[in-house]
Amino acid sequence: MPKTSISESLLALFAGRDRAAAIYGDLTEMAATRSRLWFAAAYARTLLSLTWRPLTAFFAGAILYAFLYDRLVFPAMFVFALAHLHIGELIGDVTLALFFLVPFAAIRYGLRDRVVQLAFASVPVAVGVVFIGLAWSIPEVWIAFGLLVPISIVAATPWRRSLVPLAVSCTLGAIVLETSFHVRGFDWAVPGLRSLFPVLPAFFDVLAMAILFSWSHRRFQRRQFAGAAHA
Amino acid sequence: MGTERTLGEFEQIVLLAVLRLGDGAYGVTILEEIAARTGRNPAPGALYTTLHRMEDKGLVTFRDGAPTAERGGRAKRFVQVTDEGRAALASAQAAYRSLMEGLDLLSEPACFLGAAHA
Repeated sequence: MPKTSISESLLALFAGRDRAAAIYGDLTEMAATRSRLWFAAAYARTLLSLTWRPLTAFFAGAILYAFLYDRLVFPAMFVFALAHLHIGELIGDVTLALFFLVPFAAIRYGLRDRVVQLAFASVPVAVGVVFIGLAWSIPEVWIAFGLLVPISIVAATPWRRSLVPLAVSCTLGAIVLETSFHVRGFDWAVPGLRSLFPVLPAFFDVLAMAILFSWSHRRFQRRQFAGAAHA
Repeated sequence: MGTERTLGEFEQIVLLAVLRLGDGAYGVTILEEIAARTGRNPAPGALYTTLHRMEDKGLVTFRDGAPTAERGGRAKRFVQVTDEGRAALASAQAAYRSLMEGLDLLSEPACFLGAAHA
């Protein structure tokens, strides 16, 4: 086994260990007939091309999450909490998770991806349910919508596998949100936000969602082209 | 949904290069084949992100070779096109061929074709 350098470990962080070893090996092989400067430049460009999309997706999602938490979801959840409407709080959590996942997934995987299209379609439904709930304060409406939407997606075969990354990530996001946001002491003033923002809990929330979403997307959307060979 | 089966231009180039190389297709040889056949010198990072994306879509698979000294003891990862990859490539090429029908572009003067690469 070759000794793994720090630069190879950095590649492995974004590409995975096997892929990183192969990339590093290719660059080493090509550098044998070129200069060390070429190797450094090729390594930097490779690292940038592997990282820019997930990092941009993560920060774009995190910014939208913070902004919409401040302007929309936090005030709504505050009303639900006062009225002891826990199902409303839960749907607020899921909506907030979607606000992170939609830009994250759209930048990371592109608009042609089925999970991204499903995430986009889920946002107006979730926001609509929150506002219907706010206007009418009828928990049964939320329960009906909350059950109807995933059931109809599961019934539609082509979309079934796309629901999994979205559902597990939203569930994790809601759980982390509900547990970590009760931890006090991390509410900081953030430029552009009206209220104090729980920076660390929010960071861990979006980080956990990003990791789980990326893993489950790879696991369940891997064979997107399957069937093309037999079509 | 049909749109999910479309391939980008660089994806098609990579798949064609892998098919041409057969069992010897890995990062270095793919880059060399693309450079030799198209006159382009794609960045290694562009190739790897494309290969990883196509692996995630099930268009290509990898198998590990033996570690070699010139690679610092690291193994080559050989690329193979799957049946899905072949079908997606054939579909994309058929679309190009259909659009090319009646346009006699390939018999244009060589100087014109060269200008496109300049």
